[in-house]
Amino acid sequence: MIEKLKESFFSIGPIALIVLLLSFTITPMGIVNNITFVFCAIFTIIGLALFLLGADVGIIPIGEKAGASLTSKKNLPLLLIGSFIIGFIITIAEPDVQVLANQVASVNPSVNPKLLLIMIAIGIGFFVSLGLLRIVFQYSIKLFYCVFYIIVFVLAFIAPKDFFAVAFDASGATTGPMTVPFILALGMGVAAVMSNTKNNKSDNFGLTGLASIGPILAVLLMSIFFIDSSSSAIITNTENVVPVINDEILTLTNSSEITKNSINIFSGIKDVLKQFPHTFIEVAKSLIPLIGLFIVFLIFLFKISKRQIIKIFIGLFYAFVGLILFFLGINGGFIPAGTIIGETLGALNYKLFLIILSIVLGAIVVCAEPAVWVLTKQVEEISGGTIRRKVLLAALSFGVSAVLGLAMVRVIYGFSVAYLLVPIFVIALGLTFFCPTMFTAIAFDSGGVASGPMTSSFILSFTLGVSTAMGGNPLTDAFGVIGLVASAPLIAIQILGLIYSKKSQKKGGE
Amino acid sequence: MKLIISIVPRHKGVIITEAAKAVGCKGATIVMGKGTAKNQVLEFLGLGTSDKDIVYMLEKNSDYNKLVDAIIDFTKSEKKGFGILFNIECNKLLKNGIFEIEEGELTMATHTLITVILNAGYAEDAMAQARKAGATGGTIINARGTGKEEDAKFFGITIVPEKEMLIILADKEKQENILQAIKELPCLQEVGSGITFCSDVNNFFMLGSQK
Repeated sequence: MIEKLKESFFSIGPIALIVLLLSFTITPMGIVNNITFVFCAIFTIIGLALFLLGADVGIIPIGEKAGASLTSKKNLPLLLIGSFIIGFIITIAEPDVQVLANQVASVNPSVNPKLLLIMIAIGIGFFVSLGLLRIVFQYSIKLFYCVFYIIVFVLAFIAPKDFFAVAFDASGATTGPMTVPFILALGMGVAAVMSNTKNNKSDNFGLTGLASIGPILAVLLMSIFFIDSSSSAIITNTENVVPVINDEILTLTNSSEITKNSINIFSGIKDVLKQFPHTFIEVAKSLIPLIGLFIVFLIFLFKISKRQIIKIFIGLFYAFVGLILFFLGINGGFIPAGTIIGETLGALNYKLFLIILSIVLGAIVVCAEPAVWVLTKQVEEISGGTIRRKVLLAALSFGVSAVLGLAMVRVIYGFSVAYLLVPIFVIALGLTFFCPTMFTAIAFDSGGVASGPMTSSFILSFTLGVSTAMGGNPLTDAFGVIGLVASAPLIAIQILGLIYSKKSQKKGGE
Repeated sequence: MKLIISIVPRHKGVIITEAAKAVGCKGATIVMGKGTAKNQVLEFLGLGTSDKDIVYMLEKNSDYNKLVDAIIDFTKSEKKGFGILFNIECNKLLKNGIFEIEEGELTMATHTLITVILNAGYAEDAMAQARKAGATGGTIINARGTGKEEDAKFFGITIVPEKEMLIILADKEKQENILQAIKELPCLQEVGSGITFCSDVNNFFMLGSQK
């Protein structure tokens, strides 16, 4: 537990420090906000630590066991249908997906949010079972990525322009902190029981990467088939659009305004605590299907001892409490701080400073993502320690910081996100031909992992703040940031893979 | 010839290998494991488990003391109870295509290394049993069975059982009690569900600050 607290302190600490540093220099937030922020940062740190513990003890064992026992049944239809249902159920309950569906609907009223929600869930379910099918038949994961991303870009070309950024954000948003570790573990469970395969270690990864294509395709298909071509009305309709993936951001403006006006220093904290029931329900919503699945597995699939069952439930409880604290901290502290800093700096118009700050934030924000810690730990364990966690984290930091720098340039000069995303994906897909398979799989997994709650809240509200203050169009500017962050690891981790393979070749091709 | 095994916190295995290098021991293999919790309650709550590195090294009898001294020296700056070190006698080593032969030394073993290999998920059940019989701690390593000829194939791929390997270091006199306790485990009753064996261990050391 102390280890986990340490990890989480070193991942959240730096961001908190930068925020406070800025608050005491260029962008004063006021004493009330500062106190609230420190309080929230502590919440976030404890929450992240608890969540990581819960993921270790609760979520990952369920996923692994599900994968392993579904495969051990040696029944292909069962494996495919089972994994489809798993993917579908855990997605449909994810609160972020529901919010996203509603947002897209508010952009264009001809979209039926319920239909979109089901499409996204089907998308993820389909790709999860396709990913397992791939492992069983030992098809190349690289081929799958290339084929499906080419399909994605062809569709993106046909689809209404405004949906391009939304579609890519969708993939980042839907793979939330609950689903990612679970899908990750599912793939590992399947790979764990399969012997004499060609590329056993790399089979452990790649499933999350494939799954995150699902939502992109779902949104694009939706926009092509269910929307009138007269969708140019979209942009003018910005008022009722909350251009943010996380719905809690809705409340951010309210809560930060309240804190500005109040006299009592601790009133900010009170406001944060007021969010508790709402957060509680949101987190419960994403956890309940997981518990339901676990119970079904217990009845039909798992043969485990009582103590293991109890331990998993305790783990799920940790994850539950951890996520509540984490979201309370983020929504109450990091989102308002991001907005205030973004708006103040945007108004000051220090373009260069903004870009540099984005680069710095990018380097540290990725370490604050819960799922990143889960993934890097699994990579280290499966590679037997040859791929060190720190090296992976460094590569992710580099990638995300570079991309966030570019994202800020885009916000300042306001060009389409496609000009960034298309080249990034072209390079990323090109790299797959040279990179060791395992690294390609890890890279695409990291995509969904890097764009977690910290990015879709703090970074997004920061960019939004800048965009608003600079008189840009928050709708077009804001959508796309998450997609960009998710694309960064594709290049960064694959380059890391190239470096690794060069080095091991020198040692004599181990 | 001795197989020297050291169990230390995750990422600290490097300290052991550095120490070994300093006295000329050529190679070491690091395996990743998970240390079990100190007691039942902590284990149940999922607290107190910690990631470990398990370091395996082979050394001639003559150089053994030098190596152990170096390791103890290198780890002095770490906190008390940092890790453990013990050895198992070996007699034949194939290295660079040549057999090196050296008989193990006959000593009175003070400790025993109990290894339990069982289906994944049950290692902690086994540890709970062992703890009741006086074991203090164990280390779990994820593993997988090799699969037998008769194992059913699934589209050409052999499905093998997931396994866990639990290693417990205990006083020699506790060995029988612990083995009996593990024998009681329901999860070890079926055919192919797991095995347990003991090996004599010499010269057990605690690493870390010696105060």
